[in-house]
Amino acid sequence: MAEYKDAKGIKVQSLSADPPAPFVGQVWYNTTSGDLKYYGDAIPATWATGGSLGTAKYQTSGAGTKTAALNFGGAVPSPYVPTNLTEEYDGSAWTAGGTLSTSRRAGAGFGLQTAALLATGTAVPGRTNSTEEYDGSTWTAGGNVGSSKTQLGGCGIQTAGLIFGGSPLPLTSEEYNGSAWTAGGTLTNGGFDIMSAGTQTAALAIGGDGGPPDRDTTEEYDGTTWTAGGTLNTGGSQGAGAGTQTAAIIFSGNNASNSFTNRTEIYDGSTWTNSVNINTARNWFASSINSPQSSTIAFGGETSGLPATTETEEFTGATPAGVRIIGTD
Amino acid sequence: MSKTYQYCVAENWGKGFIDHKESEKITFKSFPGNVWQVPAHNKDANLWIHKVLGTPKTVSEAQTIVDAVISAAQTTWDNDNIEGESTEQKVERIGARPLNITLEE
Repeated sequence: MAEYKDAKGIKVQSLSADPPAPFVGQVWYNTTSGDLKYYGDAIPATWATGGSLGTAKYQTSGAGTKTAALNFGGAVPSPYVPTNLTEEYDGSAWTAGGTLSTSRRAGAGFGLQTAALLATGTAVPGRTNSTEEYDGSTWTAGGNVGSSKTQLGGCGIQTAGLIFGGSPLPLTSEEYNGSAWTAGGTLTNGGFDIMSAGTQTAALAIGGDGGPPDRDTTEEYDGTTWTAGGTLNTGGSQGAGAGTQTAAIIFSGNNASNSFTNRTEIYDGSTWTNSVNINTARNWFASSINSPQSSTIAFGGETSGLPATTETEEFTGATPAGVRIIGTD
Repeated sequence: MSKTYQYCVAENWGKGFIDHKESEKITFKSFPGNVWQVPAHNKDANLWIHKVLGTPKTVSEAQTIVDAVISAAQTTWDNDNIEGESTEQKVERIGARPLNITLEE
């Protein structure tokens, strides 16, 4: 194997500890840990294109993570009917999964690719109160929600879920324990087409439509009570989110003027900060909502001029400058 | 006046169409009709257009493409009616009527 000196013309420093103030590009060998290290520059956040959905949908639902995501339900344009389709993502391609028992759009979806949940939403001829649970191949019936709604928020996992807001503008939330829904805390603002992140006991209800203009508010849930959180830089609705209550992300959707926005915003538990824009603005799409803030995907939805898209985009959060390991003995 | 953006038409094939390295260097924005906006006078953007076999368009050519797609979408929206459905219900069912878009130079 080539020596580093032969390739670069210099030797690598051997140090018993990492240098206290390394410069960007500096390389050294840490004799204590046995790691070859370098000091890397900051890397900005990015949105890259991902594999395309098999079927374009809007008002669709999502769950899972960036490399194990799930897309289910929604509406398929021409003739704009709710669908029972499920698709599974492996980080590069979407493949067909099991079909829902009740075709629906604008339901609340969350959980993991092998343990997802879909609650309520709009079916034919109207809103359904049914819940369905996915095990990685088959959807089966769960407990019915207390009140049917559509275009609502939701987060958590299959055995500890939370739904909130929606249309017709209820301020209620409901909690799921894996078999039954019970009443949760009361929202202050609510809204439909609201964005979501977090868990059943540490959730975020973000933005939403409650009559123009769309909201720029955030509400934080502790498992009992909703309280006010930070204010969005761009108020809006019909976007999607991921992450936790103290490290969340939302992206795209409509702005307060009901126009498409490419925005991405990240939350630290108190303040929303703008990040890199998504490439294709969209609304009524879905995300791998159970992903961390730094690693999620957006898929489907309406784009300007297209009633539904198959496009997927993959978000990678910013990496600060710091020590990175090239290799280990 | 120097242009800020350049436009091309390229079909998004999915994974790898825009990769993370390209996203680090270039600000992308997509429009109807597979129209992509990238920075003008930018070597990385030029290389990306070449990679995706993009067809360069002037802003006015790109605007014509976008307008045609939006106009067709507006007509589809206008003609999609269910008897007895209010405008509010229609928006809830299929979304808002597509808005016109003006591309920047």
